[in-house]
Amino acid sequence: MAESGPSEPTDENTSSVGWFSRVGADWWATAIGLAVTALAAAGVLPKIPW
Amino acid sequence: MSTLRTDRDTVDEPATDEVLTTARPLDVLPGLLLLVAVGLLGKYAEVAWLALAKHEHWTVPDIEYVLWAILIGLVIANTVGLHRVFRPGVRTYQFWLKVGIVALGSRFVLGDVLKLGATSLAQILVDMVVAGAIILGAARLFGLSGKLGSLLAIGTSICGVSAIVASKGAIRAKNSDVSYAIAAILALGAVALFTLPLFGHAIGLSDHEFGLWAGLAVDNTAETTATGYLFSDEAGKVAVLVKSTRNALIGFVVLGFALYWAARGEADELAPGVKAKAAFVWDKFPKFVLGFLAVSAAATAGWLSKGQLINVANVSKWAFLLTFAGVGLSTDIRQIARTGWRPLVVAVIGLVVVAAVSLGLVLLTSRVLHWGVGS
Repeated sequence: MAESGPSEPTDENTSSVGWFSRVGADWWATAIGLAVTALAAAGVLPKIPW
Repeated sequence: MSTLRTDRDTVDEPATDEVLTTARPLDVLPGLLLLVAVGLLGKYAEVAWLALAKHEHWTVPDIEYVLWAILIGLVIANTVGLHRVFRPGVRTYQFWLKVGIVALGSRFVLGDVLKLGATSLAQILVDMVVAGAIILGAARLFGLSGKLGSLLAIGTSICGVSAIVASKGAIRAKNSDVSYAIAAILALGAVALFTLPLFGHAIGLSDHEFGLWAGLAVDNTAETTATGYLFSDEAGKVAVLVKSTRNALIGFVVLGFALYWAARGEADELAPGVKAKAAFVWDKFPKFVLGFLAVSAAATAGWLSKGQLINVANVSKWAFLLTFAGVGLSTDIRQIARTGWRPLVVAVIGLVVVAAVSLGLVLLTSRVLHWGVGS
């Protein structure tokens, strides 16, 4: 397995990463949880087995 | 045991859950796939273990998928090691924990959340004051710096690593103190993970009582969740709720320590006024708690059918499975030797005190005062 690190981000990558980063993981986790619940409430969440 | 080698929460790296928003998707993918693989191995190891025992007519305990996932991750991390290509993805496990907590809201009626939250709030406050005072005293006794003592007190009384990282800038702590405090807190989280469920079964705690105890006593949210689910699903649910209540207080505790160190001229002055203080507390507040409450409100309002409630709950289980795999993969047993004994002794005192005080509170409130939901 190669040990090389990730390549340098381009400007485009940096700006999109910056936008994601500014929102923060807490809010992203909340958004995903709420999106799943909204899909469930709309009855369109596919069956998720366990 | 501790968990530093995989860069979990080292101070110069972004917080583990933030890696998902700062790294590029392709950097995260290998580690994420490893989390999924280890989680699935853990899940099916439980099934295979029981099938093997049945086939061979053995009488064996049911080893939960939670423990399998953690153990498999632990073996990988401490034998072949975790290649750097996997690290960004593995470090996302706290993000999945938060997603899981938000989705878990579907399993709670909002009234129960508020009732249990209020009950546990009283217990948390007592626990925090007692544990905080004893840890600060022990830190002084063992000659630790005031700020390291503060970090250990914050980590033990509130929410482990997140609280320590949140306090770092506010009290202008040294990186070495932060690393020490994190290592000690994580070491004890691992110890609690394996000992509390055994102890809870030995003394005959109910699911509700154990969930309360784990939520109050275990410092890091991932380990709290794993400890609760190792006991039972019901205990896991209660542990997550109590721990989320504890996490919600993070801003107030960090603010208190920041004001203390600023008054001594050893931290930056905070902006004057209530508004600035409120902004400080809001900045530290774990926002996913709001998501948990919103999902619980939606479930309580009857917006979800029974089938869809099960679907959302299963999302939570899958997210937690990634978390448990991540806890194992991030645990480095050898790191304990590099931590140093003094902070560890102070943290052990903290764990024992918090565990004993919180167990006393749980037994007092549930068996004498008969508080609680569904106990």
